[in-house]
Amino acid sequence: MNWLIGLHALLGEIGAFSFFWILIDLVGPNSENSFIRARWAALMGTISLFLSWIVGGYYYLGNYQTLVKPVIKSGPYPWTHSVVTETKEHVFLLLPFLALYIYSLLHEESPQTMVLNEKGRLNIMMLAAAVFVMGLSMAAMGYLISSGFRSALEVKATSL
Amino acid sequence: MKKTNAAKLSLIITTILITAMAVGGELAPELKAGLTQIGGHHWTGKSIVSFVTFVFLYAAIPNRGGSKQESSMDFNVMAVVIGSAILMFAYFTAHYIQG
Repeated sequence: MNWLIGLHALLGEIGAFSFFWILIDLVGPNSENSFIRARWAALMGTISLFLSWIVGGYYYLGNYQTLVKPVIKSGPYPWTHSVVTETKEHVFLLLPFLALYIYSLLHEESPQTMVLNEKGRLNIMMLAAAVFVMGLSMAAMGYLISSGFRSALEVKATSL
Repeated sequence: MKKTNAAKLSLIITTILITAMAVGGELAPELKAGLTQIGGHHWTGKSIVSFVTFVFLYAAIPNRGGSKQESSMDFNVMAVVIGSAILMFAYFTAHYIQG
């Protein structure tokens, strides 16, 4: 067990669900308070995603490279590193910047003005949904990578 | 934060740059070596380059007058971000299949 993985996943999910919060808060008839809450959610989500980037990177460059990667690549599912980890480590880099952009959109106008801007509301919802779905896909990829590692260890254990 | 146009252009360019570094680093060992020199590991190098690029572009690009949100939906942003993610997944899948 490595607490860095848990912290990375926790921060990533806080980030993803912060943008789900924005999506839900802006659905349907909304008030100025909806946009004020969305601003706070965007701030929390953006900070969480940047922190998840740092924590995940620290783990990836340390334990993952030296201990986990060689085991996965020698196991029955080496593609969980070659495809899934490689994709995850690069696609994740897009998320904090997309989050920052949504944060900037939510601060472009006053909440009073934003309530009247239907297209702007839909635009923010679309982008927030993208962050949420991509964030969930990060969790799914993390599951696949862990499964690749666990399967490799199971093969080693049963061959003893 | 009022520089929405700067944030949008910075996001699009940084996303394309990340994709280019991810795929280009595999195709050109010199690029991967250069990124490794920047950060000690190629992934750290990509992280530093992408962060510095976003911050630099955001600071350098002047704000455009008027409200961006009233004019259009950001389908171009969506296309670049989702397209880049699919492209990277497709590349690493093909790279693995080809051995």
